[in-house]
Amino acid sequence: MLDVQNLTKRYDDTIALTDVDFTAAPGEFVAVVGPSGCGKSTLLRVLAGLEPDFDGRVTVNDTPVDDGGSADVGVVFQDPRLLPWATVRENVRLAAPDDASDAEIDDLLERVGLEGFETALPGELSGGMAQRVALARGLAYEPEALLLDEPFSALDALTKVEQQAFLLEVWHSVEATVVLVTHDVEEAAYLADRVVVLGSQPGTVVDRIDVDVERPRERTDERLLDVRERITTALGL
Amino acid sequence: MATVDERSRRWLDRQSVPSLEWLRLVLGLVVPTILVVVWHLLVVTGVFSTHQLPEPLTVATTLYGMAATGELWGHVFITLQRVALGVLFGVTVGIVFGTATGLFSLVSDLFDPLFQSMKNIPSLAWVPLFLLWFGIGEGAKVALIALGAFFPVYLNLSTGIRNVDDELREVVEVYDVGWPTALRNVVFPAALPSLLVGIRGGVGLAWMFVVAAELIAASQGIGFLLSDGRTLSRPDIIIGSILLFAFFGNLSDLGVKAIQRRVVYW
Repeated sequence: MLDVQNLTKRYDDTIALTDVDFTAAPGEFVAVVGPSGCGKSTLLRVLAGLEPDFDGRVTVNDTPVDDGGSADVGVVFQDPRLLPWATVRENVRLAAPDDASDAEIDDLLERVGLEGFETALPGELSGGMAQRVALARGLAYEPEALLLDEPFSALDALTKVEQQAFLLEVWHSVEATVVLVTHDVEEAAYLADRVVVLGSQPGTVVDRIDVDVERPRERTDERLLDVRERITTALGL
Repeated sequence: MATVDERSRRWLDRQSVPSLEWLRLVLGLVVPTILVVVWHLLVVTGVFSTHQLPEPLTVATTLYGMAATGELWGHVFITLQRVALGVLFGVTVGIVFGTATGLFSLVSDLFDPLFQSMKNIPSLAWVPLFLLWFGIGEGAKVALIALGAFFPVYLNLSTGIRNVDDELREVVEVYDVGWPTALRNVVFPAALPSLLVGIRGGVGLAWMFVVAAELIAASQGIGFLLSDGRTLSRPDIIIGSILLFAFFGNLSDLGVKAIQRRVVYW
């Protein structure tokens, strides 16, 4: 369970986030949507423990992130951030528990559709595949919550749809809380149980939308279109 | 039209890649060959007198003669040995200090200013001091060469470790990668390319320093041949020695480059 209360984050003179409240229940898929520069990545970095200085209370399972709470959180960054010198398997092992066997890691790789690439180097993979290695690495960490920072933004439209399917499948099988930061309104509505809309300058929550659409979903579902419209309205577009 | 041209040109480039490589190697030999021919002509026509600049063939004959009598090998061997030992010590100490200063800012604050200012001292300036300290034996020469090889290794490795990509550092942090694992799997591999650049530079400087050491205080070695050639007024020996340095310097650089390609495989 992720809990953010009154989060305010300043960088020197600029305020990135102000009074952000937001929770994610166990197993929930939450999308955080906002325009570029609204501080949505900052929110994620605070949750991951990468931004130690902030005001407010941010906890993971009731443990403050600046006091070890972020240890239960895995992150998939916008770029895959793989070690170029290590094989796919070794990249995933980096985040896995010390006693993880090759078989367990290969199992994860299979789950993200990378069987047969265990000993490949990241340089030999396509962008979509590299991002799936990053996803497998996040899963290997067995996190309470998996945070994804616009992980599909650098991919072409077709690959993106494919990756979204992988993400949903994985999310179902591991029952982790997922927080997906994105600027893609369609993606947020299609994937999430709940959409948190951040407005910009300074970044603050302008709307929270429950997406009550059963899964598997049709991208063209009327109700999803309504959700998209509401997000767009909240963003003032 | 333009795109068709573009495409056909790229196609041509791709087709001719292997032969192009060879052509470029051969092209690299054109100017040196011309220089040798010009050199020969200038001496033969009397523009340079032979006691200043011997014919290319004389240089080759001298080298060949010294090789045949076995005289040359002692000089070559001792110089190679000095360079190898010096590089070994210099690189080792460079790795130790480069790692320590790269990892710990306290160590860096303590040592880096000193090393940064020492690296600007010309190699020859050290010679008298090293002779005083280590005598005229092998110790002084190896120490001097080690000093030369040390700096590039130290500087490159230290910055290489310090400049490990912030993005990878965050991955290490997010996934609570342990300190030893992070060093072994992230920091050191990330700094490996810098280390090899440093070693290449170090080997290069080792050759500069070996000349300095052997010119001034040696009774054997290619550098000694060099100064001996001057004493004996034998330009053929001087030029031959220079060519030997060129040959072995290039050879060692190619060797390190080959290692570099193997070690930095990604």
